[in-house]
Amino acid sequence: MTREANRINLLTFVLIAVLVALSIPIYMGSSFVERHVQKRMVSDIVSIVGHVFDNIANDLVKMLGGQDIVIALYHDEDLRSQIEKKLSLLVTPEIKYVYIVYRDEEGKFRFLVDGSKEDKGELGEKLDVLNEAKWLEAVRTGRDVVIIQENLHTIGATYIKPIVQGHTTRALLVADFSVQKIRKIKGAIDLIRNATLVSVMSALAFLLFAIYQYLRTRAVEKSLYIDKLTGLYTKNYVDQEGVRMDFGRYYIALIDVDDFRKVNATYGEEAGDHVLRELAHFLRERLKGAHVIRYSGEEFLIMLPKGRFRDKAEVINFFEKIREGVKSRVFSYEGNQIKIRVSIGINLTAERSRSLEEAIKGADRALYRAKRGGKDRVEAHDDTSEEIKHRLSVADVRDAIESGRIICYYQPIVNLRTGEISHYEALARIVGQDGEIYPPGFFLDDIKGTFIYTRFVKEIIRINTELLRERKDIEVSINLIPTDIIDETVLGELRSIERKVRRRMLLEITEVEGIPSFNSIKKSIGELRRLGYRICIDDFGAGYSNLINITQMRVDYLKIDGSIIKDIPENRVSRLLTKTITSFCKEVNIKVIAEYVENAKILRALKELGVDYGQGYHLGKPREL
Amino acid sequence: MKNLLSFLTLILLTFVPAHPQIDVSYSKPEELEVKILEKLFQDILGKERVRVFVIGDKKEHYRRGIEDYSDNLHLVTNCGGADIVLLAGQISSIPEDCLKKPLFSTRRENISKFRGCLGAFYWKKGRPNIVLIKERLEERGIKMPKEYRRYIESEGRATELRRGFRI
Repeated sequence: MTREANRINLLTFVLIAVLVALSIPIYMGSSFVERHVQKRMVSDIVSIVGHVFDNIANDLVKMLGGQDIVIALYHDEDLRSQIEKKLSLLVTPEIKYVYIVYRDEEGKFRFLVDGSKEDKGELGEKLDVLNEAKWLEAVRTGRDVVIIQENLHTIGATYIKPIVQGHTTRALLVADFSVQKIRKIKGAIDLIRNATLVSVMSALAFLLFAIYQYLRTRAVEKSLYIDKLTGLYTKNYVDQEGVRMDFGRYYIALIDVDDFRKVNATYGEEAGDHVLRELAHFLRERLKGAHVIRYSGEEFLIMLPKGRFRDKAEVINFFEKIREGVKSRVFSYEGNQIKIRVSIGINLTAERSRSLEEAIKGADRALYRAKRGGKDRVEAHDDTSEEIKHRLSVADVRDAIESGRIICYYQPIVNLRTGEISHYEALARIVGQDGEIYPPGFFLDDIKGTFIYTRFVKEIIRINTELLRERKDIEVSINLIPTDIIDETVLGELRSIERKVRRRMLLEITEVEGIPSFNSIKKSIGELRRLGYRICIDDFGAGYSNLINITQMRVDYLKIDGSIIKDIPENRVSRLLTKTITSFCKEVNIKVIAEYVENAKILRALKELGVDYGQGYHLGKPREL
Repeated sequence: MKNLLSFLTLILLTFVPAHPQIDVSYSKPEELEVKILEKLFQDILGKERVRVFVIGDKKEHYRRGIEDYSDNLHLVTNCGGADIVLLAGQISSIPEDCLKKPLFSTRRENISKFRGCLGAFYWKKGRPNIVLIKERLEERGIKMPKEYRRYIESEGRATELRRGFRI
């Protein structure tokens, strides 16, 4: 939208600028032409009148035969009449008035003869002249004087010819005329000028409209693309502009705040907003020259120009420093000193991706590993690395399903009061064609959203159903994501299993955060429980943490996320959180499982807190049964 | 007539701003007429606010002009309440009570027609012209400022001129 609109706007501006640039000379040129034509026509007419007046004046002098013109005209009525007739011959639509005046002893101009057809001056009648200096100049110098008068519609002139007797100007032969033809020429020029003016004004109006539209578009873009909280670009910007970006020039990274919900839960959402604002500011400061985008709630997308770094190790070090910088920074809000940590996933080989979206997905995989690996760390995705080379494609997974190379490892979940194994969590693996065992991190993200994923889930269900049929002494939990339990194919598969098996199968629903529809999930969980399945909410505390929803869904188990459990011996908040969750669950008859039981200290702490079950390397590693 | 009007307008719009004696500002010809009359009446009568009674065939034109453009000329409906009577255009006779008042005309011809007419302001070949009759001003004890000297004409001088004396 924006790039195209900007191009149109630019084209509009250029066209208008050209139009205006061409119109101005036309407009100004029309004035010049008008002035020139006026001047030329006046000059021509004045020249004609001047010659005629020369003849008249010579004729007059002859007629007077040496008499003073003023005295002669005052006393000789016949002479006055003859001269008046002669002057009247000069009157035309253009030459309005033709008359002779003299200047009396008081300096007043008075009529001697008037050949005009209307508004005639009487003998001796005073005439108040305007622009008197010019009239006096004619008297003084004895030379012809022309006074030009112009206005918007016509042009006029007064031609003054001195009648000199001896060496003295005795009278003035005067013609007042207007040049009517100029009106027509002026009319045509005015038409051109007005048309030009209208086109310029229209162009300017259009330009103003275009500017208004441009600014409006920019404002809309800003509201769409700029995050109000942080002032950073939003995901919308990436979605819209990403297709045009040369993303191969960048290292793509995702920075996600670890356990951000704790900030909101502990200090309130306003504090959370403050932290995000400050973090955005920190990232902008530290990542000058990079695109910093608020990609989702507490996740930031960074597009860092590659030219700044010599090698990939330097990039990873750079982001390590960013991570350390965030970790050591204290965010103060209303007297609270808030500390946060971030996990960072970097795609070091964005240029190998087919789209920016795919490049971001690479960073997201790395981020996922950072989260799974215990958070507060930097992980890199490198398509050229050995690990990536070993990633399994969708086709590999399909082959594995079809050739029976999907297997499960089982990790025991231990009753912490009795020390006995309660059940096993089934952990999917693929046996590669080379015999190597691949955990889900090598394929799961790539098959999500494809039809192979559903086949994969069905295969896991099938494997564990068969296991439970064979091994009546054990119970098994399998992992599902929320969309699985509202998928009719998966639900159909689960419905088809006999009740005896169902009663020994637990369904661990992971990634509850971002569930498509809470009510649908709740309804499905209700049905599955009626079928005999027990439900466990996995990764509680990793993202979604709403105890009210948990009680509404009526689940049987709640598994506290490893990120809370791992620092339980040292971290008072984690300890308190675990204690609170455990107490609450006991009240509502939900059993609590703690994962990440890595050592005896954690185990002891969990026992002290009354946690029901434990899972982790200290209690048992995943293995085949 | 149309041509004449356009020519008058042309002359007026171009020459009048340069009128050397009567210093008035205006934006339309009608306004100029009223402003010149206002200044003349103030100087003739020696007062700021002047009550004017208008008669003649151009009465409405001048009344409208005075209403629109003058702050100091006030129209009255009879000669009794007037300081001066403006003879606007052609007029055949003047009411008896008006003859006692100073008269001023917009036509030069009315000066010789009415004995009490002090002068006229009129257009001659597109130029504003003023004539004030010396003897008639003196009869009423009116002394005009120096700037009007060029407009003041003597009745005796007019006669002499017509006869060809003192040219």
